Amino acid sequence: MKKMTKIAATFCLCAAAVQAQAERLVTIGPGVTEIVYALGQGDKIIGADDASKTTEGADIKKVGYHRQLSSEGLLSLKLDRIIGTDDMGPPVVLEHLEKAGVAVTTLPGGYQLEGLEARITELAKTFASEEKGKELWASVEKKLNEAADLAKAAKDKSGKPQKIIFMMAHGGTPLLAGNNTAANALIELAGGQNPAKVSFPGYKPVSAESLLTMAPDVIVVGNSTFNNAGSVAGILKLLPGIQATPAGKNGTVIAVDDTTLMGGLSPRIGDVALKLAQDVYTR
Amino acid sequence: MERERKVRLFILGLAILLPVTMALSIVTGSVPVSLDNFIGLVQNWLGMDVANAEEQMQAWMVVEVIRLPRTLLGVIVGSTLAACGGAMQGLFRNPLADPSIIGVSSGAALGAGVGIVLTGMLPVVMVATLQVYTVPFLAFVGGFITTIAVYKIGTTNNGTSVATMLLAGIAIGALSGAGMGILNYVADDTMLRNLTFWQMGSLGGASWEQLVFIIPIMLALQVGLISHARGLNALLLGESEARHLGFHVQRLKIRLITMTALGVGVAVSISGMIGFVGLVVPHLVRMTIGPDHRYLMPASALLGGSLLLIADVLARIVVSPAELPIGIVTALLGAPFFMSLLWKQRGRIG
Repeated sequence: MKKMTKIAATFCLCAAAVQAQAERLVTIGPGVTEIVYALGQGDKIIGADDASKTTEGADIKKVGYHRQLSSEGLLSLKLDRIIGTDDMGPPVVLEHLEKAGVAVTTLPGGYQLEGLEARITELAKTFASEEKGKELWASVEKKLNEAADLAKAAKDKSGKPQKIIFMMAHGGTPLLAGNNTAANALIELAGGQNPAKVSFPGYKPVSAESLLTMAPDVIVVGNSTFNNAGSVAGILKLLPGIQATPAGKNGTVIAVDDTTLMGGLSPRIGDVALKLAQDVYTR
Repeated sequence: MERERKVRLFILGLAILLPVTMALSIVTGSVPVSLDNFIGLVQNWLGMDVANAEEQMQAWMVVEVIRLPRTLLGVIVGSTLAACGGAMQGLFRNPLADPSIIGVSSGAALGAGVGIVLTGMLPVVMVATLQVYTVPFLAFVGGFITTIAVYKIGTTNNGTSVATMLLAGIAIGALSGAGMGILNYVADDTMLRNLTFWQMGSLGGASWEQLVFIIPIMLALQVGLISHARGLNALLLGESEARHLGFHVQRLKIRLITMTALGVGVAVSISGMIGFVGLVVPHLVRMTIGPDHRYLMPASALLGGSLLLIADVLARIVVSPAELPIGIVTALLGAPFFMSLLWKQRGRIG
């Protein structure tokens, strides 16, 4: 064991010496990867998890599912730093990386706005570009405020918030987004009220009857679900009973960019929430 | 005599194959490690001074901390699963029997599922650390409880009815399946992915701290199982025949069941569900050298270790720098091979 620490310690020293050149980054989780790009550090990325969207044509290796990383696979990329949320794992792989002198940066995850702000601030600190981080967060906040203003104006006019549900269907029974999902966060950021929030956490199938009692005013779907169904009429046929809800009667189905909903909130959440608010309240 | 020679040759071949696959497992991987690195590492172990030691540190660390423990875990898990499979097939006099039939695997899966979902409900910071210990432990507990239940259902004053145990195993499997279904329903996305990956198995979590525990337990179990080879041979003739041959059949059964439950429980709890090794390996051996457990058991253990290592090497390199779950590889390798053997021999098995 003693020898092991010696090996690790000397290795850290040489890793530190190499760091003067461009840092080689592996980013885990779409939310994290997007922030790294937004902070202008994207050219340092040499590997990312399967869900992350990276620059096309760039030499960026896919390193697998974020909770099932491989020690040796990662080390073969000669990385200096791995950045991910606290979902990243398994823990033993992170231990191996640390022993090999790789810096492991673990950021808070989750679907709360505070998490996103903390990710941006901490990453900005890591790259010593605090100014850029502040700008990025300010731009997210500005758009979210605009969305909230739109929602408030609409609520003042009609007297009640809009009931919005998020539906996901990739073949089989459609699933609704409940509490603790990025979709729920999106609905609330757009000033809506998610009637499925009180019913369950995560994504669950619902019966046609409970959908009727939820009485959504708006049905939000991801682009992929919308394209699968082909049209608004296709979405309204996914479950019997949808057509009898307020949203079904008025045909208010709104498609959003769902890549921003995968793997925690991304810095694009401001754009997506504002777009949704505009679609909901100015239709 | 001819047969005896064939058997000896086969076992000798397997005894050579195992170290070869171990060496293969140590030299292959996504980080390049040269022969010089290995020589340097051995010199370093022996306390000799090595030139340019610093440059070699990463290669050494990969071998010492990642590949060696992983190789040893693969050997010990593969051989234990295969030996347990051999014992089960003998005990149940049923070539379809594998450790899952007495409920160990399904119970262990349920236990692990409960662990993943329960710990997943705790605050995020605690999850990762807690899961490392609770999931294997609950998997083991789950496997053991189901085995005891199956055994109790199958046992009356007249002894243990193997047929009833088989049916009970199927029933318990269905019950555990329903339990897994409930867990899948209440789980959130993260837990779901964890459940799925756990069910596909991995050797990636191997560490020296674990191995110190597991290797002695599993080796003792394997020796225990192999030492019951004569009893298993007698059981092949039928239970009353075995009794007439002077074996205490009830005691024999209890011992075999306990050892298998322990072996599979520990293996599953550490590496997840790795299918097919326990079923296919003893079969391959039986088809080649016949059903004499004195040779079948050790040969199965040797082949099981080698097979799992080969599967793991493939799992590591095909999608590098990511990694395939090993359960997929064992099934992909094992099932077609098994089918081709069945095809060739279909005239001979009743």
